Amino acid sequence: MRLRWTRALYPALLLVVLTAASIASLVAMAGYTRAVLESQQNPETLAALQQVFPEATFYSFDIDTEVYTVYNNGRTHIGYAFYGSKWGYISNITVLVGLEDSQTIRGIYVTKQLESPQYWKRLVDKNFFDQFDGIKVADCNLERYGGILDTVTGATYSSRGVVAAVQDALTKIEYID
Amino acid sequence: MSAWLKQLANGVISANPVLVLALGLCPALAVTASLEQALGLGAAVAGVLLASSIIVSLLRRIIPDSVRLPVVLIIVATLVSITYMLFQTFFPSMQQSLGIYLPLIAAYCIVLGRAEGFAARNTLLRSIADALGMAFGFALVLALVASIREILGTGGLEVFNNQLFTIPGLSDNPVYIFILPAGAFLTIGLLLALFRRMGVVKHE
Repeated sequence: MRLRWTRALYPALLLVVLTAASIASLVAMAGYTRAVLESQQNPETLAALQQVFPEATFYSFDIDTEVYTVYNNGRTHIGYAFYGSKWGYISNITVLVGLEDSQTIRGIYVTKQLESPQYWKRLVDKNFFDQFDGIKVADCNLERYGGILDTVTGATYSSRGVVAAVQDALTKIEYID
Repeated sequence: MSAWLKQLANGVISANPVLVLALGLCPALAVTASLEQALGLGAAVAGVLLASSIIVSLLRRIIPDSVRLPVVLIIVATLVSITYMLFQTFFPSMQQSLGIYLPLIAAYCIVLGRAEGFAARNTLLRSIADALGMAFGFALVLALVASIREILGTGGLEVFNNQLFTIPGLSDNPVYIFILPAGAFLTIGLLLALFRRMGVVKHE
């Protein structure tokens, strides 16, 4: 009787033990890969990416295509990002452009510029950068050139510089699916 | 030793998983638009197949028949998850490129079939030989199909950002259908017909 019960329970016990071993190995591997990913993260780059993707926790960078792939805490892929740079009014403007997919811009973040402060302040006060949020890549151009973006009066060259830098970044879109 | 080699060669030629057993046709069609993708998936499948065969073969004496399939499923699913995490960490662009076909390895008939149908009934060495043969045979066919499709569809061959060669004339006027899904069906169908006509691959 006792042996019969043992034989009946054995397959269930085996499955439980195997499942526990599976969970333990997955947790261990997740911990190891997380440690490796964290060691590869540049805090400044991650901070810049988080300006566009607030939920970003990890990123990977392809040296050849210069494309950042962005992940959230659950390791789900949430978008891509690339840098672009063009001349504004008196300086180069470097922007980080975040994309949800190959069609839609999540947002942009200006990482470097040395424009005249009074002109740049106009862009900030007019929320110039917000107009990139959620737009289609195809619409990413000034209105006069068929897009939907508007320049800021009194800061036209800086506005155009930002748009041109974004378009420079978007030349890398061919590298994503 | 010869039995071991025979088992190894079995998976490459006489029991090739794609051309003879008609297993793994889904990835063979979907992930052969470029040689790079094919090599990446081939490597992933090889790793999962080898590891699952080793583990299942080592545990075969303690796995009752009534739960053999669930046990194999748990082992394969775990190994695929580990492979996915490793690709995500060390080969992120390859992982993005392969997309859903990397986690789908857990459902490939090649992996489940060989683990449950062969490794669960054979010794460790024979299981390793079989897994290596099957994995190599699978990767070889994927690479062959991908090479044909990429050469005809783009006029050249590129792997890991290195352009191996281009064919003058063809690179200017490639046969685009070969990089489309229809071209995948065409290529595999023609390969199947060719190998059987030549007698390289025989019906069992």
